[in-house]
Amino acid sequence: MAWTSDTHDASAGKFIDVLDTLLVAAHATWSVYDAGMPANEKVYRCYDPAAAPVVDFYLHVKDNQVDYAEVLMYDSWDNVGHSYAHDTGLKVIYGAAGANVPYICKKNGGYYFSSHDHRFIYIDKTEWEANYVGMLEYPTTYQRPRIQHPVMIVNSTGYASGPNPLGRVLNWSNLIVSRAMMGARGQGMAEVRQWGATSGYRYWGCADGGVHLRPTWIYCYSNLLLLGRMRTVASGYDQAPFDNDDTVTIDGAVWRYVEGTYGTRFSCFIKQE
Amino acid sequence: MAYEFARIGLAAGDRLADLWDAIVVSNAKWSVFDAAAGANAKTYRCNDAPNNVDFYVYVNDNQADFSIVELWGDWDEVGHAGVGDSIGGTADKFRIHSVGGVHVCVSDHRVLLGCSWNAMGYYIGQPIRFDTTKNMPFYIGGGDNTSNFYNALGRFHLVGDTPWQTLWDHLGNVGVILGPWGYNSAYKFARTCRGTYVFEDTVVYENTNKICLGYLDGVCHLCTASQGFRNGEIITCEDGDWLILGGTYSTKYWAALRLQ
Repeated sequence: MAWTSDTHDASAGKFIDVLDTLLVAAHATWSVYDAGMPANEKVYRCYDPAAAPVVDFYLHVKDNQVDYAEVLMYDSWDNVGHSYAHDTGLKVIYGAAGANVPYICKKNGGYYFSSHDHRFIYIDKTEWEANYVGMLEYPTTYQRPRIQHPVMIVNSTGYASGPNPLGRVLNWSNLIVSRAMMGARGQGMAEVRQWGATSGYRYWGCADGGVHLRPTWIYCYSNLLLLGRMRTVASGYDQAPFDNDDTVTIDGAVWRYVEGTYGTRFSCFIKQE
Repeated sequence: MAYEFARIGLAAGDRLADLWDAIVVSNAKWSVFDAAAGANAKTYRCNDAPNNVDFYVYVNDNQADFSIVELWGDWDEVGHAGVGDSIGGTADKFRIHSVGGVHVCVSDHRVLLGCSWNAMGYYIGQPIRFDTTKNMPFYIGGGDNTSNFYNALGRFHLVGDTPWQTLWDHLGNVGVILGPWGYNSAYKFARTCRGTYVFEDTVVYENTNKICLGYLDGVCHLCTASQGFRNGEIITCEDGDWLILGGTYSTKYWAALRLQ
């Protein structure tokens, strides 16, 4: 696990540079699976046969334009034919409708990146959008799922409006994509939402002047079963007086506040690790 | 903390004898402060000065089936009357139907009841406070409504039905309305894809300034997220047994109570 703060410009290939440097070079579980793609496209594999359940998913990243990267998730990949190997429907290629393709904003300016063996969080510091890609987690004492449920909780084509995906976890028009590659019963493209959605009564401030933060549980919207939690993400709602990039420290850990630049503040705290 | 399943009589005075005197005051932080507060009425004190906890619970059990309770900041055991700030003494009474089989959880700072008769939960006392310098006793439970039993611990504040109030908030304001984190969201699901359950103590905020005061000790607010629940089922989780209650009214408001 690592937390990185850095900058890049908005040009093609910059998001791939981030993944190559901060994921592939740092975690044995992440690799470039297909480097023979067109310019500024790559397919990454997250594979951990020792994990329970086994983690194995692929990300097709199209970073051949300015300001955003298109990121698609699949359960297999053909690195000879350079295409989805076998369409089982276990994938994430859109959100609320077919045109709502998963995008991650990577505008000119700074970013934060939280890397992990099985997931990453990318935060664009221009639109202040936080994106979560990969596995959820469980408390160590709880029974874990038998099958993997990697998720994509990211923006879509409306990313420039500034909605923060991790502050409003659900499929939302052309703004937010929120799906698991496999849902609770193993079905593909399952919408996922956060515990307590979509209440505005999710407050942070505490009587002692601090804040209350709790990992965000994610459930499968079709059958309402919990798939796991974003351990390092506490999702809330419109929580003045915090502003983007504020931090709080709890038990020595720094949590950073992100709410987007959309008119309504969809807020969260993200633990820096 | 202590848990037991109690069998409580129906007649006037039975709740004093069977519940408060027999069980609650066995905790050293709870005591009978005024044993002559009225006909079938007593006042109990929860006092833990080093931890800034001190409040009084007046229990009027002079009728069958239920008690009328009030929370007071002070009590005159000579004049047998409350002193200072209070909640529950208005036209909208706090009623606790603790009859028949009742799951009773008593800790140093709160009493948690799971009542089988109306499938309601009741919480009297402190949360697990974020600011332990503040004395903030809650009442969350039944109100005036004696026929439509919404489960208060799964619902939210409604005068007469399901009061959620604190005697004092963190600023010392009296009778402030409380709310569960996420309030009336119907998406408070707890069942995992392994068929197990995840119940977490609910954070409570005061509804004036939206400041979180603490966790409900042993209560997970689930609102209308039924997930196939049945009143009275007990689910064993990694952290213990949880009792499921949703009230007996047609609209169920679910909560899980940790039986500890």
